Amino acid sequence: MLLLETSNRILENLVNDRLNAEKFETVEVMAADFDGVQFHISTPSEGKNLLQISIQTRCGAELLKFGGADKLKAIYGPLLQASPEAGYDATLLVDLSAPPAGQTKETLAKHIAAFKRHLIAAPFLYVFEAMEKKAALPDIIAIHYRDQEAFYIKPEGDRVIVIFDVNFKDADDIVFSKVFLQEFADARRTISNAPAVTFSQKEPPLELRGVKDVKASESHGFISFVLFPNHTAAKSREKVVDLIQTFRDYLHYHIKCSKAQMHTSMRLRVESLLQILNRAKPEPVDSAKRTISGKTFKRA
Amino acid sequence: MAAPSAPAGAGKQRAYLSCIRATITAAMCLENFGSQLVERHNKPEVETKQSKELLLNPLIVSRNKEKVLVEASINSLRISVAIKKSDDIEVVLAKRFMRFLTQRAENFVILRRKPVEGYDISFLVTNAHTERMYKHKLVDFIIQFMEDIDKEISDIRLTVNARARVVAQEYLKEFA
Repeated sequence: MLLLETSNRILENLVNDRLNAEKFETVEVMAADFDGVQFHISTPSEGKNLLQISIQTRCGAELLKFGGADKLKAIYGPLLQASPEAGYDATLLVDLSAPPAGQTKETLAKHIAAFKRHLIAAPFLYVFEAMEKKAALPDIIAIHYRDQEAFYIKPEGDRVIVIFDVNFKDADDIVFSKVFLQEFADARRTISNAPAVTFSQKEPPLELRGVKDVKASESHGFISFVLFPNHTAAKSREKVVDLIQTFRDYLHYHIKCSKAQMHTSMRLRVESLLQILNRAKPEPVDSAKRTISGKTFKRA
Repeated sequence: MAAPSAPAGAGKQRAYLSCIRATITAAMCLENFGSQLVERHNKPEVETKQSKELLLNPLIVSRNKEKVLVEASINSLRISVAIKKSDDIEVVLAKRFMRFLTQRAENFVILRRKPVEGYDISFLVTNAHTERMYKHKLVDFIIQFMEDIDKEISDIRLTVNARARVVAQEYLKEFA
């Protein structure tokens, strides 16, 4: 379970439950996902057999502009609502009694659960497909998916460079991230087809020169992935997009895991040290004494 | 006699630790001594440092970057340790580990909650401790403590590096 899942378990379980339930009930659920994404699942007033799922992301406008709107329409077809629920970026409306064309009851849950994945994958696929068709592309696409962080997609010849701007709230995290990222950069030696990874702390890479709003400070690290044509080709691009959209969360997740592992081993070490210290204390003398006539008394 | 397969550093490490052990054993001759300045008070003289005649000369035993400062007085003994840290990640690990330990200072009786300036961790042993516990076992504990910290930090560092390698491999092999 090292890699992170891209689909949302909450959505999947909810849709599965509703599909397998005997009668339709009203649903009102707010769920969250990585990167501050929020879902709102509710039963609209039009009918109890309908289920409305809305998604809200910080960069919704940017995502929809760069291929998001087209991608969602292509994947979800009639499920996608023309105008989203108020305060949300996109809305799906599902009829639980009649799964849409091309989906069975079993696959519908997974189809809905991939809602966020498809939305965030959109700009990547937009760039990959445009490069294949040799269509015109903007110089660099910036998506500000988190409060202090963004990722940038820059097509360059036949490659695509994806740059992550990652913010580290804790200064110790920066040291851990250097260890992890060094391994990422070195992995090319053993895995021949891997994308080239470079990273720098505080200084944005050359590709980001001239881009506005790039936050460069001590706590910001920049990680660049160079994706080669074999990564952006049609047969591997879906998997590549899955992996690359969760990269920042993957990194932070594993940094936190190694901190937790550290704490566990420190606790074990503290236990063993305490045992050694306790050996220094002499055993308490048993202080219950008896007199000749048989009376027992305890001395402190 | 070191076994032929033992690394060369092990002998030096042993010499360093046995020197520290000798120093601490010699310094741990503590007796009860009430405060000369305030009636009815009994303070560890090495902490207050008010009366010069009650303090012994402080001694530093050092080996490259790591050093141990031993300050003794008539009723108390303060031992401060500076851990060897070879790179950034060890600095971070040492800091975290020391914070972890000092938060549990109550359990460790002889540990001081704040290290002395310039050192990573400090112990304060008073005559009350030596009256309640065996002196030679206390010295054993301190030496064992120092060995364990070094071992623990290098262990954690190895696991972090191993984890980083596995994480990177898992992720990037999916691309291939």
